[in-house]
Amino acid sequence: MAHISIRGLAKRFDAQNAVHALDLDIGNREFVTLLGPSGCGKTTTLRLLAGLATPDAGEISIDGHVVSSPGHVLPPERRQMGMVFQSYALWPHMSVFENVAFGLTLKRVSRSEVRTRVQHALDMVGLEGLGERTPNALSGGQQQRVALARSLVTEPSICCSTSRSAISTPSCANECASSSRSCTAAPG
Amino acid sequence: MRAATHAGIRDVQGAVSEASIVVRDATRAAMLGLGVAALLLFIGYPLCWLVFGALGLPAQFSVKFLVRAFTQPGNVAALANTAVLALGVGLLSVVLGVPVAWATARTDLPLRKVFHGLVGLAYILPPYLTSIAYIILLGPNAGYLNRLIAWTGVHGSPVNIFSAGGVAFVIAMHVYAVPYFLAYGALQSVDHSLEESARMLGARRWTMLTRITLPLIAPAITGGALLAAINSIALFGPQAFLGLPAQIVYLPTRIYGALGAYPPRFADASALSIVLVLVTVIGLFVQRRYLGRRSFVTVGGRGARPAHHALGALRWPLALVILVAVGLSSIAPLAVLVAAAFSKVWTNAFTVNNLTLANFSAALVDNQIAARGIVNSFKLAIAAATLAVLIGLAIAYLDLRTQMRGRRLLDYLAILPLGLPGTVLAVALLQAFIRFPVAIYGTVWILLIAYVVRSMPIAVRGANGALRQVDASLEEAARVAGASWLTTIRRILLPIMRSNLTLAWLLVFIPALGELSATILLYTNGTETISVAIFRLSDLGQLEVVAALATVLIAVILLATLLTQWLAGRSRRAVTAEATI
Repeated sequence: MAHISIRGLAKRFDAQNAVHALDLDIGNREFVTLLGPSGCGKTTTLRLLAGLATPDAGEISIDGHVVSSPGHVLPPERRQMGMVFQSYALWPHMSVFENVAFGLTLKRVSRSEVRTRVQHALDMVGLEGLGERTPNALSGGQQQRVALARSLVTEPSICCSTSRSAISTPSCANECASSSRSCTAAPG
Repeated sequence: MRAATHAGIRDVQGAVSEASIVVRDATRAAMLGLGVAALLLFIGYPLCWLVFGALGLPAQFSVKFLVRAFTQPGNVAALANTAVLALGVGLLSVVLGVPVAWATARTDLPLRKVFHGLVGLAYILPPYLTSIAYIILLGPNAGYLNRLIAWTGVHGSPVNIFSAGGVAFVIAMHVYAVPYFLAYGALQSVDHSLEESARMLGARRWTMLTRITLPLIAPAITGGALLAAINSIALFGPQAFLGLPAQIVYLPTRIYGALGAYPPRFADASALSIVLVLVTVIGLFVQRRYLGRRSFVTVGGRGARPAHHALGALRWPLALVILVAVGLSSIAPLAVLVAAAFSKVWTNAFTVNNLTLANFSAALVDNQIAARGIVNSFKLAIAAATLAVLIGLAIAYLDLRTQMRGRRLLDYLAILPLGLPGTVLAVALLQAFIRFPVAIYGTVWILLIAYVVRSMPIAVRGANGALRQVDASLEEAARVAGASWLTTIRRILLPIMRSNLTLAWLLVFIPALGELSATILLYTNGTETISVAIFRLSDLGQLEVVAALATVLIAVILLATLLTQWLAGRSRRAVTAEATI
């Protein structure tokens, strides 16, 4: 279960309000999509949620525990989240397999388990057999699915995406529905 | 599944109490603090001592040294010589560099790729080695070329390299590469329709060249001339090797003399250094303004390569002329140094009887100073390159990845050494670190600091460029995947930047390996480098051993340069590959 609660969240860039007095609740197993014109703060909200940015006001709590406030931000690596970046952010010096496995190796998961879970994640997004390729050798759509597999392989309780099409693929929607997970998407 | 999720959330709960963002800020603040402290200590503090020293401190307090820098006849002569040198080199290098650039960039000249590479070779040869090569080529009486001229029946030594003209010529043979490369770049980006429309209006090729092409690339030419002139002022090597025997003194050699006196005249050296740094900084400033304001070069958006002019019957004669000119700056010095290195007596003919490997065993093993110099130079260059790249990386990271206040100041401090000739830097470091609280003069550490400071601008620019190519989302993705800041740097950032950082490392390593102008004022017994060994052994007249040392140094420099080219090409290809996806 994961319940996200956002209260009075604000973020400014220079004189510009990116996010202002945002209140939002996302319940367990909810799939939420943020809509709006470009520059309205969708990506900023998700970056705040992920701990990649520090809010100027307000707070974000997960299951009643504050993870972000102006004076205190739990770093992203401690939030157990998954995220698909707009640019996919695939590491060019690693193979597709290594990209997906990265989060698992950091958790000191055993080698054989890493192998099965990465294979499973790649199968899920329809990239079976492409593990040894480098990200540059894939098409744009395939790259997107690698990013998706990478964000889901660690079985995060919250998964967000700043890329519209990535999170709305059937495989992702199914995955979100079948597990106890909150999904947030901010279409680019 | 449910259990796993629970465990995950418990992790989050457990960590909430720790003030992690504060820790993260503390790491970065420590980095910033360390960077500022290091740069202030190694650049700011010595510069203060340069000013203190020029005022006679700590012994006295007076402006007489600054006044004397401009009034004492010896100083005035040095200033005048330096001005004439700068003017001569500026002119010579444009006269040589720009026509060759036009021929290689815009005509169907045979061997133009070879010529382009040879100009690069002329630039990477340390100029003090070119000086030694020209002592072998054009020394009075014994020089190869002088003997060749004498053989044709002309009496006496028609050309003496130990002269003001000789110094200017040898320096120009090195720095003409600057206007060459600037003009080459500009000529390649000139939109050829501008030239073609002139031809359509009936202009002959010569008219088109002088009325259209040259004015278009004028900023590159004047900028190149200025840079060449500024460069020439700072080159201690040729000024010492070729000027001192003829008692022609320039500002850097004058400073060298003031410090070599007994007791060393620190105040005079500092005052002269301030004059030298002023000249350099004003020159750089003018060059910046000039290049910044007047850029006529139009880069064609359609990517059309400018047409190559057909030279017709002139092709081969012109190639021969350029071969002689460019060859004199690159192949000739290299060839005579290598020949002398394998000769028993360099003045004798290069025959089988005269061949020997003894010079190399002398340079690498028998001669204490030379052997020590090689070891010291390698240690210093490797340490300096590593340190400089690490500091450069930290500065670039703070500049590009954080909003820390003070990061601009850091960047500015790091670029400052561009305006400091090696001699000036040495005078400043010498006075700062000869006394309490950091008395490291006489150790190898002061040399290391000098090398790191000299290479700071290249290192920061290199690291900055490398980091700019890495999108911040790659690091953020790693953080979200569960990697700590340090793990992200180690497993994501550094591996991605590896080849660009190696490139920056090599760009620092190559000049550090043969550094002379700062080293000559900072070395002591035991901390000699290759350049110092070459300087001292050539003073003793052991030109064959000097040539062997030079050959070793050039071989390493050439290897490192080839590696650099290969790496640069690979990273360019990688960028293009990425862009096409």
